[in-house]
Amino acid sequence: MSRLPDDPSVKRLPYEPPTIIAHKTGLANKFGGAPAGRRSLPRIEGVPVSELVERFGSPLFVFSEHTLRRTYREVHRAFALRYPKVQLAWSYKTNYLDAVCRVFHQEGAWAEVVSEVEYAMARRLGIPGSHILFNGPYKPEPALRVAIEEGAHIHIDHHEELYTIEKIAKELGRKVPVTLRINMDTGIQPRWDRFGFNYDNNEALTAIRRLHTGGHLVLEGLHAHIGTFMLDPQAYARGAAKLADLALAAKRDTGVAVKTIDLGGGLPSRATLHAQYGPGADTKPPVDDYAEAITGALLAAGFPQDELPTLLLESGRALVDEAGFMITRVAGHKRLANGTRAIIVDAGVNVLFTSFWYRHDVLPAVDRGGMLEETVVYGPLCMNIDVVRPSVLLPPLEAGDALVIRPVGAYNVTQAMQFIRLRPAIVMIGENKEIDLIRREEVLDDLKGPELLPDRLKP
Amino acid sequence: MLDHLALSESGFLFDSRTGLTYTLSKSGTFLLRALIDGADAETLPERLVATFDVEPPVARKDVEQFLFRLTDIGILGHADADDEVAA
Repeated sequence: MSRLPDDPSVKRLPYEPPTIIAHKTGLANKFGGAPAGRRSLPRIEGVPVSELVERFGSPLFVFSEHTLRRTYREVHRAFALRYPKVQLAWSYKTNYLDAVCRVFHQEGAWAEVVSEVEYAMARRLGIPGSHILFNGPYKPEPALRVAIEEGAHIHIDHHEELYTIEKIAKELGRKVPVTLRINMDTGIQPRWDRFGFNYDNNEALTAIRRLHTGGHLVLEGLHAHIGTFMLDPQAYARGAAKLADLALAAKRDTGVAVKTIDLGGGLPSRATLHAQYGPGADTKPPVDDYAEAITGALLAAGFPQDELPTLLLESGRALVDEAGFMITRVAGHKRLANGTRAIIVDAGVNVLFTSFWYRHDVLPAVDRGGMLEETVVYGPLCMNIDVVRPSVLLPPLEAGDALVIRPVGAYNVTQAMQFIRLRPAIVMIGENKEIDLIRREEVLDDLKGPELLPDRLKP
Repeated sequence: MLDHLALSESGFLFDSRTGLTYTLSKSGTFLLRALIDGADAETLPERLVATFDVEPPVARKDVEQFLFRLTDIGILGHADADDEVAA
C-alpha cells in the first residue's frame, strides 16, 4: 500500500465491479445448465456500433438493407420453388419507413395496406392501385371509391362493406372484382374469427352467393389471416385447404373461378416470445416448412391446371424483423432491494413496443470481460412498465457503454410513440456499407406542431 | 470473525453456516479475501485502487454497494440472527 496507484511501475489489474451471485439449486433443465456463452455485437453489417453512435447519437434504430433483401428473396424463393404463381405483398403496418418499403418494392413486392393512410403511403411511393391489396376491417367509403377507381384489390371484411362496394359499382356502372376475407378453425388457439366471413358455419359460401347474385361484384379472390407469429406450419396447410375447398365450391355454385388465394401474414421471425422455452432462432420452423404446407395443400386441392389461383402472401414480420436493430447506451446502474442488478438505458418501451411480447437479444457492443450477471434492463421512462428485458445475462457495463437490441425491425417503428421522450433517428446501412439517415431524430415541433392553443390560454 | 466462509482463489464461496454457495467477481474475491484476512472495511477502497485499474470515487461507491450487498445476503454481520439461521 506504500506506492501510489498512478505509479507507472505498478501494473494494475483490469477492473470489474465487485459482485457476488448466489447459486440457485433445483433449476436443472434438459439443456444441462450449459452456459449461455459470452456474446457481444461490435458491428452491424460491418459498421462499428461506436461509429454509428458517434455520428448519429443514441438511441438509434439501424436497418440493414442487405438483410431486408436477403430475407425477402429467401421467403419468395421458398414459395416460388414449389408453386408456379406467387406474389408477395409487403405489409405496410409492420414498418412504414419509405426506405424499407422501397427496398421491398424494388424486390418485387406489392403493397398490403389496411387503411386509407397506408393506401396513400403506397401510392406516394409510386405503387399503382393494381399492385395494392386493400385490407382491414374499416375502409371509409371515399377511400373505397378511390381504391376501386384505381384498380386496387379490395378485401371485403363484412356485409356493410360489401353493400357499400356494390353501391359504388352500381354508380360507376361496372363490375368490381373483390376478394372476400375468410376466417376459420385451423386447429390453433386463439382462433382468429374477427376478420371476414366464417368458413366453418357456411357464412362465407352464403356471402359468395349473395355477392354473385347482386350482379355488381365479381369474386376475384379469397383471403385468410389465420393468426400472428404462427409457429405451426400445419395451421397454414389447413387454412389453405379450406380456402381451396371454398374456391372450388364457389366455382360449382357460381361458375366463377377464383383467381387469387391469399394466406395473409403471420409467419414468425427469429424473435423469442417471453413464454418460449428455447431461443426463437432455434424453435422457429424454417420458411420452407410453411411454403411446403401451403403450396402442398393448394396443389392437392384439385384445381384444374389452367385455373390454379395465384398465391398471395402478406408477410411483414418475417421479412423485416431481423433487419432491425436498436442501439442504446447505458445511463446508470442500480442494485435493486432484492440484490438484483439493474441498468437504465436510453431506449424505452415507447420505442421498443415489442419488448412486451419478446425477449429481445440485448448484447453489449464491447465485452470487456468480467462476470456475467442476471440484469434487469430498464428504459428511461418514469413508468414502472418501462422494462426492456426483465432478466438477461450481461457483463459489467459502464455508463455510456453501447448495447444492441435485436430483432426489432417489425412494428417498433410504426408503433413507437412520443411518450415522455421523442422518437430517435433511424439509419439504413446499404449493400455497400453506405450509411443513410432515413428518418431524423424528432424535435419538439414534431410533437406540438398540430396543437392549437386558444388565445385565452396563451401565456 | 468470518471463519465460516471458505473462499477459493477463483471466486467460489461456501458459507458453512447456511450451506449456500456463491460466485464472486475478481474484485469481489479480492475484497472478501481481505475481509476474511482481517482487513478493516474502511481500507478496502484504497486496497482496490492499488490493485485494480479503477478511480478512487468509483472504488468507494462500489465497495460501499458491495458491503451493503454482503450484509444484505447475510455473508457479513447478522451475528444476532445466527440462531434463526440454525433454526
